[in-house]
Amino acid sequence: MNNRLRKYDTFVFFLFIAPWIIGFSLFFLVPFGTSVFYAFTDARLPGSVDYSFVGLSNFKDMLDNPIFGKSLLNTLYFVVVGVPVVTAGMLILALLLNLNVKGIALYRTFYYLPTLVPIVATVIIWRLVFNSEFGILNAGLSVFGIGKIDWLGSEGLIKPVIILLQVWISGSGVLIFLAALKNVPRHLYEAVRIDGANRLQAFFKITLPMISPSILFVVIIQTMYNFQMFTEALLLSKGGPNYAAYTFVYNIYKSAFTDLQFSMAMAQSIFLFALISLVTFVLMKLSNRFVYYEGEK
Amino acid sequence: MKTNGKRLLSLFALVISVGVVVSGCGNNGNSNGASSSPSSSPSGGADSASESQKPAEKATITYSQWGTAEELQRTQELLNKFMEANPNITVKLEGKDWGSYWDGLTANAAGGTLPDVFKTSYAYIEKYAELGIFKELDGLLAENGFDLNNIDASLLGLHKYQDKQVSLPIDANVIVWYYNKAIFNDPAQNPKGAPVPSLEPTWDEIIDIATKLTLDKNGKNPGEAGFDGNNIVQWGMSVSPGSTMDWFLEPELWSNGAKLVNDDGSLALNTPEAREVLDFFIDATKKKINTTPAQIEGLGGQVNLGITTGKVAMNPGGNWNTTNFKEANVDYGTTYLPKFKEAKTVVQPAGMAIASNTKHEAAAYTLLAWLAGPEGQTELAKQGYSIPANKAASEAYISTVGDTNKIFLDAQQFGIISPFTAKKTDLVWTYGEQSLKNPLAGDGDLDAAIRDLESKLQ
Repeated sequence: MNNRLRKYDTFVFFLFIAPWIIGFSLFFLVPFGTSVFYAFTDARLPGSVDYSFVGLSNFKDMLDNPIFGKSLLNTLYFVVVGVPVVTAGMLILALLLNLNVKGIALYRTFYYLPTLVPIVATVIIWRLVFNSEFGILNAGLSVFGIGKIDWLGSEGLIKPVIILLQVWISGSGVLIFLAALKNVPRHLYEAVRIDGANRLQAFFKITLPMISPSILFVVIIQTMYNFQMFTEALLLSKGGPNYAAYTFVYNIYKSAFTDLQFSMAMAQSIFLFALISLVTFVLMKLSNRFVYYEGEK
Repeated sequence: MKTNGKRLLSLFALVISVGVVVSGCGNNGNSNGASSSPSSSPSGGADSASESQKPAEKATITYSQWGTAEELQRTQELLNKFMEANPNITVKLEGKDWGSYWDGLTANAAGGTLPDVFKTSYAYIEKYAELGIFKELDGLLAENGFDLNNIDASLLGLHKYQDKQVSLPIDANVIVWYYNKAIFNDPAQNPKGAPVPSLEPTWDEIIDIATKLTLDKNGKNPGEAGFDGNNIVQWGMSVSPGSTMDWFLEPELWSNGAKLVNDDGSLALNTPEAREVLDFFIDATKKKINTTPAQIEGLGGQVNLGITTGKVAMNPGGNWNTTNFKEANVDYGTTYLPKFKEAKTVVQPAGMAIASNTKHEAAAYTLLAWLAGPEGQTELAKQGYSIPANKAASEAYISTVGDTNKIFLDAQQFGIISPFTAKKTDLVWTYGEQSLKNPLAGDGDLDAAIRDLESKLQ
């Protein structure tokens, strides 16, 4: 009877998880397998029957692509610089929104609103705000005697502007941090206060360790997102000027839709997949040292 | 027992929900297929062979093109006339803007869902022909006795791939120079009384006019002492050679005896004649007579629509832009593109092709032959916005547009012959704008940009 019940439970488990397995297989495994297959061919289009196997030729061509190095460096900038800045920005916003001040619920709503606006609309707004000639930002700065700054047309400024844009739309991460902050037991703060710790010490000794699992989660999600950054770079400055915001995924898009070399685009995608997997693996390994799971200690 | 009952209930709910999801997906799939598949037909999807033999059988085909809402509306009017003449064929129009049109076509090619008939540009013929998306037309045209003599051989040549006709030219877009008459006529906007440009202006003439029409907030122009270049409220002209290489920079280079690319596909910008042209535009922008890329962005982002803002006196554009000017209620004047030595321009013949995998070949051909033939071309000419490629419709065009738009026909005599090669496509649409946009506006090292471009085009 017990055995039958266990089998039945297993059956029900798989039945319930079936929609996910089907979706995962159809929309990830099959396209991924197809991509791997075509990456070793010279197919111009996915699904093409007119192709031959070219071995690692696409990967070699990928390295020879004149924009490969620059797009990879730009993407690494968005990961190495962008992810810590955006995560810190989220955390600071969450800490501010965790304060007990009048009307805090309203502030929380306001800070989350940009996340609800479609990214395309947000980018268009930012193009207007950051336009060097007619933008409201330069108009505001001119009050303080600061001359026109070409935010979107300068090679040195375009990446920081994109990172700032990410902080602007970081409501979801803020929400995660806010939930984590709310879950930190009050008595821990009372205990360190009795021990004579100030607010900064309490933050580093109590808050950060207690919300470290959430930080890890946000860092990993943000890292994956920034490795795959595309929309912001495309719409804000078409990856320019002079490839300053040309990301790796933008280059994949160009290979597929401008050069009509889908097999090359697939090779680039697989390279990126491997890179993201490697970085995520390293992050997970390193997390053992920095992340505190209350339930495990 | 109670637990088992709950389990059964949850199992039942799950089966129902999975059923709903699966049937939902199924419906979606069907509806997607119906809307995007070129083979969808009320006749029940006759195969191409049977339809070829029975062209009178009812068929629904898709026709795709790029264009603004108004252009699509005009195409719909054309298609309505076609459907009146061919009641057995229903044509569904799919429209996109220029940028997303080509991505969409690529995605359609990848997904096997190409529209039966679609618009093509001479610049993309080779690129998409290599994907095998075009049906070869030679056989169909010969079988049906289509008169190709009415279409200029050079236009037909631009729509061939490996000597085979894969697309038929339908209209010839041409680039000219526009000015906003209201700015010239308003003493507040034209305090120096600059005259409108002549029909075939030189750049010296244009610079003189543009200088007088560039005003700072105090009404001073760049030729006057005390001009405040940081607070310009009106620009004499708006050109962006770095981001409009194919339709503006190239004819201007030819105008000065230079070229954009050499015959072997290498970059040709390092000759003295070419550098003279590049330096000229850099100088005009540095003197604040011409808009910078950031100013163009702030004025709406499209350099060929500058005069619609009321803040730009002159800009280059295509004959299709007259639609935009009318929509914006701009009273515009037209001249040939300004010249260095000789007047030059670009003629961009758009065409029409049939998908290689269409299941409605006969219906698709009927539409193509009508749109590119005398009947459809005359209807197109009567609308007055497009220059028909078929000479049988020339009279209809001239009698419709009168003298106002006759310049678009006349300008074609200055058209340069510069076919699109793979390297030129790379230069114009992949590398050129990134490298040259800022340097050609006076911001950045032009020599380094040219060296960078040369290395990328090797």
